[in-house]
Amino acid sequence: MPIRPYRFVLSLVTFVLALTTCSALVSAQDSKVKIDSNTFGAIEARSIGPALMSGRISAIDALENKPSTLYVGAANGGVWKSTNGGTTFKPVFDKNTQSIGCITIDQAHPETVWVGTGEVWVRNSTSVGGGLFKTTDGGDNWTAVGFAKSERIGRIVIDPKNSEIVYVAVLGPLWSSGEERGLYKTTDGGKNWERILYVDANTGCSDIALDPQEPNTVYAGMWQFRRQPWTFTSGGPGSTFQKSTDGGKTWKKLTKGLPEGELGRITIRVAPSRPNLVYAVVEAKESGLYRSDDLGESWTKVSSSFNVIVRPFYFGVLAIDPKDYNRVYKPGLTLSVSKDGGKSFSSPFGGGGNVHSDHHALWIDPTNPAHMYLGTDGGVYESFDYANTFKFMKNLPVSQFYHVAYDMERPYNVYGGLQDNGSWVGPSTSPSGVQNRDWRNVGFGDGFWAFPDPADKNIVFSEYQGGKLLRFHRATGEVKAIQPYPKTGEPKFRFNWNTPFKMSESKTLYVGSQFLLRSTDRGDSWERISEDLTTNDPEKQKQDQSGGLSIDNSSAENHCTIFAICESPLDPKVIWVGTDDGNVQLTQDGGKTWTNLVKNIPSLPANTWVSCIEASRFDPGTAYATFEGHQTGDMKPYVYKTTDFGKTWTSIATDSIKGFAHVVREDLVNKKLLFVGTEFGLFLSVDGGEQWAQFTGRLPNVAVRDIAIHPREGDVILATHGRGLYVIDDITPIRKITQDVLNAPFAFLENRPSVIALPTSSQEFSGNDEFVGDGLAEAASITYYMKDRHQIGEFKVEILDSENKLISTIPASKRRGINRITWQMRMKPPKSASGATLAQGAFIGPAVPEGTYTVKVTKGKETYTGQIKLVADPRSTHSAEDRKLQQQTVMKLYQMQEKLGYLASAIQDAREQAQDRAKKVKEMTAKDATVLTKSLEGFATRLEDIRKTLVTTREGATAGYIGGEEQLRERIVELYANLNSYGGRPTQSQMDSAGVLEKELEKADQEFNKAVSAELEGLNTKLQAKKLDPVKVQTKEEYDKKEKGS
Amino acid sequence: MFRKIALSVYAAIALFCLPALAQSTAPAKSDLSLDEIIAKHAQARGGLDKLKAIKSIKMTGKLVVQGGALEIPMVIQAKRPDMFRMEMSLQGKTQVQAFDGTVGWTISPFMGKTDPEKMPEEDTVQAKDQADGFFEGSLLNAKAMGKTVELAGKEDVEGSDAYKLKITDKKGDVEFEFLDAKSFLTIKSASKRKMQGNELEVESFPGDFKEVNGVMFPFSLEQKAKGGPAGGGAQIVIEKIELDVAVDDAIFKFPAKDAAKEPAKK
Repeated sequence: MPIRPYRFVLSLVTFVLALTTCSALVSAQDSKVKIDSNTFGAIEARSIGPALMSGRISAIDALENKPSTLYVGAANGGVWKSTNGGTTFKPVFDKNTQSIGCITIDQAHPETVWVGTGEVWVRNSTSVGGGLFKTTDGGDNWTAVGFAKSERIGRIVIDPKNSEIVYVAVLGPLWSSGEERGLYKTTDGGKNWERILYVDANTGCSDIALDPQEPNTVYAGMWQFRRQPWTFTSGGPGSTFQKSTDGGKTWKKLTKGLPEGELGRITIRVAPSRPNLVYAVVEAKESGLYRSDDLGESWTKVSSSFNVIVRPFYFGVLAIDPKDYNRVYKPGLTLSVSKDGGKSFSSPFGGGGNVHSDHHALWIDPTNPAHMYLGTDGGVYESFDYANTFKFMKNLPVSQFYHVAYDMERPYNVYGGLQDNGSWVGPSTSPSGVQNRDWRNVGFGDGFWAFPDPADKNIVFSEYQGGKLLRFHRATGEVKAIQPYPKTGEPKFRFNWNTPFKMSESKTLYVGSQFLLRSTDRGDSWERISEDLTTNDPEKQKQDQSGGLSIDNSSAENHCTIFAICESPLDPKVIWVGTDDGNVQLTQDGGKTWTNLVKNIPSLPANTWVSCIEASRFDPGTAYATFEGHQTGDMKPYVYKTTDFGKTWTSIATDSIKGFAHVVREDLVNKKLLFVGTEFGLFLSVDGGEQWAQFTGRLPNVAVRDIAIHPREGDVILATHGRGLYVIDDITPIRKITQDVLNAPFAFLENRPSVIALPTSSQEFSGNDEFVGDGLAEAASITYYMKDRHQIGEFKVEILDSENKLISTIPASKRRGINRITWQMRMKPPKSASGATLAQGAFIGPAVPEGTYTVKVTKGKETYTGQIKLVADPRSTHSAEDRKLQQQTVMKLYQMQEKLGYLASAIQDAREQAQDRAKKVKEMTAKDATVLTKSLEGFATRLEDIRKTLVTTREGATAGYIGGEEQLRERIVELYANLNSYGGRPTQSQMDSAGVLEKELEKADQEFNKAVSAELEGLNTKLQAKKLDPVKVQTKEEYDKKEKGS
Repeated sequence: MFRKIALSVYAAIALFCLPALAQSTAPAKSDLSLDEIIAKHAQARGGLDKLKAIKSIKMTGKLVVQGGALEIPMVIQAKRPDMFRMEMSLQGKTQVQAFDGTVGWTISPFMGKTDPEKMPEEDTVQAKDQADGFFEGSLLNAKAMGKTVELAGKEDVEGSDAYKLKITDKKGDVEFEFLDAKSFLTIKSASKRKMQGNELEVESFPGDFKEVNGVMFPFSLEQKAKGGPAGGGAQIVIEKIELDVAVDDAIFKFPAKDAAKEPAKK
C-alpha cells in the first residue's frame, strides 16, 4: 500500500448564489455599446470530452530521433502535441481552424512544424481549412504562411537536405472550383512561393513524394474531384501522375505501365531504404497498387486487393517500412501489410489488432520499424510489434458530435451521436471530473440524434446513418430497431445521412424521410403526416452512381430529404420542417396541410440546405432558421427570423458570424438572447440578432453542430464536431446583459438559483494517460460586469452573513466584460495550534449555513453591494435538524481547535520565558542561583510535558510525514475533518468523542492553570529580587494579535 | 499543493521585475516604438530615478487559494544588490525561500522538516535572475543580465489592448510581458518555466496598482496555468509595501543549523 500524507479529499459543499442586481447601473446612454467576445469575459465553456472513443485523426508526425514527441492532427479537432509518447497531449492550435490536412515536422529543426489545414479525406461531413501554418517554437506560436483560400492542403514535404525548400500540395476546395490549387514550392522557408505544377481549377495536388537521396526528383499526383450534396465524383481528365527531376521546373506525365483512361486519386511513396523503388496506389477503372523499380519511369501493377483499392477519397495513405523496402502497409478500411513488395497483402493483426476501422495516418519509427502510430476514425493507436497489438491513446477528446440532448437527473446527463463512433450518454459533471469510464455506449454506427425518453429512464433513442432508428434499454442492454418502413403503395423512404429524429416537448417522436412521420408509442408504430416535402428532384437521387471512378453509395449522399423538424413548444399542431434541398414547410394543423414558405425568404439562394429551424417558445408565429450552402460552395451564414408563421422573414445574420451556420437556438428565458453554431464556433446575440459576437471562453474555433439549453440549470450544452461536448455553466448572467449593463462601470449580474454538491471523496491513482473533462466548480459564483479593466487601487469582494459579520474576503477579478469569481462558501479555517507537523484537516473551514449573505465589493473608492442566497443540496437526504446538528458539532470542534491553539501558545510562551530566565539566572553568581535555575527549569519542563499532550512535538526529517504521533490536536482535527466532510447527522460515537476531547482539553487547561498558580508567583518574586522580568502568561488578546500578524 | 505555493511566490517576485531594455527590432503592428513603450512604462511606474533609489523592500500580504477558503500569510523582503527572502506561514510554521546573491536555499517545515536546504541548480539560476531584476527590473540591467527585448506587436489581454514584449535571456528562454496600451502598466506576464524537467506555462495578472513613495506597485497578482479556467489559479494579495526599511543581510544567508530551527520571527 502506498504511504501518503493524509489528504483531506473533500469536494467542498456548494450552494446556490443568487445575486440580486444592485443599484450600480448607470442610466442608459445614447450610443449603443457594441458587444464583442470579451463582453462574455470569464464565462467559459467546460470541455467534458469524451475521449474514450476519440475521433477522426487525419495526420500524424513524430520526431524521427525522438518518437516520444509527436503531433496529431484531427479531422476537425486541431493539432495536439505530446512530448511523452502520448501519455499526455495538449492542444496547440486552438486559435486557428480545427480542420487539419497534414503535419510535417522539419526533422533538422525539431521546433519547426508545418501544418496544412483542411482535411483531405473528403467525406461528406469534412470541414474546411484556412491555409498553411508554421511554428518555429514547437507549437506555441503559429504564423499563417498563406494559401488562405486553399480550403485543404494534402501534403507538405521538406527537402531532407535543405529545410528552406518546402513543397506544398494544395488540394483545394471540395465543393467548388478553385484557382489556388496545385503544387507549390518555396526555397526561402516560406517567404515566397512559386506554383510549380497546375492543371486546372478543378484539379488539385493530392500527393507528393521526394527521392530522399536526390531531392530534386519529385513525384506528384494531381486529382480531379468534386462533391455536391447529392453526389461525389472522383477522377477526370485532370488527374495525372507526374514526375520532375529538376525540383519542379519541368514535369513529365508518367504513363508507362499505368492504367489507361481517366485516373482518380494517386498516392505515392518512395521506399526510404531503396529510393529507386516507388509505390503508388492509382485510382482508375481498375484501381491497384503499382510498383516502379526504375524511379517511376515504368510501372507494374502488383495488387488490387480490396483494402488496397477501397475508397481512395478516404484512404489515400500508404507507408513503406523505413528499413525493409518490401514491407508495405496500406491503411484503409482496415490495415493490411505486404511483405513481398506489394504482391500479396494480409492483416498484420495476428496478436489481436483491436483498433477502430478507417485508417488515415500511419507513422513508422525509422529506427525501430516495429513501433508505429496509427490514426483512425476512432483516435490514435500505438504498436510496438509491427501492428500485431495496439495501445489506445485515451486522451484525445476530438470526438465529432452531430447533436446533443439532456435529461433531468442530478447532475443531468448528456446524450449525443458521433461520426463513426456510435451514440453515448455521460454525466454533465462529476466531482472528480468527467472521465472516460463515466460514458456509456447506447447506439452504434455513425451516431447523430440520441436522447432519453422522459417517461422512462431506461430508454434511450438513437440512430445510425440513413435513418436506422434504435431504442436502447439501459437495464438490459437490449436494442430494438424501430425505423418506419413504407406501407403498400408508398415509395421507398429517403433518409438523410444525418436523419432528423427528435422527441418534441409534447412527447411525440418525429422522424423525417422525404415524409414526416410521427410516433406516440416509442417507435412501435409510425404515422405518416405529410406528402413528400422535398423538391423530389430525380437528378439529385442517383446515389447509385455516386463516387466517380470508385462507386461509393453509403447513404452519405442521400438527398431530397427532410433535415430539420421542430414542433412549436406552444402548439403541437404547429410543426416546421426544413429539407436539405431548400424547402421550409409549415403545418398549423398537425400535418393535415403543409405550406412551402421558402419563396418568402429574401436573399436566400435557391435550394440552400435548411440546417435548423427553431420555433419560438414566446410567440407561436415566431421561428428562426439557419441555412447553409457549403456543399455547393456557398460558405455564408444564413440566419432568418419570422414572426408571422413564415409569411415574411428577416435576415438576422451579420458579418460578425463566421462560418456556415448549423444551428440557431432561442434562449428559454430571455427571448432576445440567441445562439448560433457555425462551422467555426459559437456566436451570441443579446439583442434579438442586431449584434453578434463569438463566444471564445475556452472554446476553440470548432464546429458547433448543435446547441441545447438545460431548462433547470440554465447551462448551454454544445455538440462540437471535433472537440466533443462542452458545457457553459449557468448563462443567467448573459441573460441579464442589457445596454444599461454594458454601459455600467460595475454591475452585479445574477447567477442561477441552484444548489450544488454534497461533499464526496474519491481515491485513485490511475496515471495521467486519460482525458478527464472539467467538472463543475463546487463553489458559488459571484458574477459582475465591468465596462473597463480595473487597474488602479483596491478591488476586493467581501462576503458578510446576515448579521453583517465578515465571513470571507476574496480577491476580485479585473477584466473587461463579465467577471466570475468563486467562493467556497466556507468560513476561514480554524487557527490551529502549531505542532511539529501541519494539521491538514484544519486547512478547510466549516461550510457556512444556508441563508442570505451580502456581497460587498470595494473598487477603489466605490462600494457596491448585492445579496446572495445559499440553499442546501436538493439531493441531500438529511433533515434540516440533522444538518444543524452537524454544523453545531463542527463549530464546537472548530472552537476547541482555536482554544487549544491559544492554550498551546500560552504554554510554549511561558515555557520559553522560564527557560530564558533560567539562562539569565545561571549566569549570575548569587548563592541561590542554582536553586532558582532548577526551579525555573523544572517549571519549564512541567509546562512542556503538558504541551506534549496537546500537539505533536517530535521533529525530524520524516517525522511529520510518518511519525505517527497523535496528540489532542490531531484527535480533534481528525474528528473535525470527518464531520466537516459529511453533510448529515454525526454518529453518536462522534458526538461522544467530541465530549471526551472537550473534557481532555479542559483538563489540560486546568493543569496549566494549576502549574501557573502553584509556582509562578513564587518564581516571579525571586526573579524580581534579581531585577529580572517576571514570567507573564500570554493573554488571549496578545495571542490573537500575534496570530493576525503572522 | 506546496509546490504550487512555491511557484506562486516565484511569480510574486517576478512580478516586480521589469522587462529589459535592449536593441529594438519592433516587427509588429504597433503605433509606438519599443523605446517609447518602455519609456512610458517607466513613467507609469513613477520614473526610473525613483525606482533606482529604492534600496530595500518589504511586502506583507497573503496567498489566497481555493476561492478564499485558505489564506496563507506571506512576507517578501529584498535588498540590493541581489538578495531576497520570502516566508509563508501556516499553523505557526514558516516556509522560507531565500537567496543571498550566490546561494539559494529553502526551509520547508510543513512536513516536519526544519533543516535548511540548498536549492537545486535550476532553482538557483531562477532565483539569481529574479534577484538581479528585483527592483527597477532587468529594464536597467539588460546588458548585465544579458536579456533582449523585442516588441511583438499588440494583443488583446482579457479585453484590453496590450503591447506584447518578448524578453529573451541568455539561454534563449523566452517570457512575455504585456503592457496595457492605455496605462502602460503590466497587465499580464507569461512564462514557460522548467520545473524538474517539465515545462510549466504560467500566466500572471498583476493589478490593484497603488503608489508607494511615488512608485506604482501592484497589490494583487492572479496566477494560473496557461489555458486554465478563469479563477482557477491562486491569488497573491499584498497588504503593505514598505521601502527602505532596515534589514540585516544575515536573513538572506544560508543559516547555521541552530538558527534554522527557529525561523526568523516577525
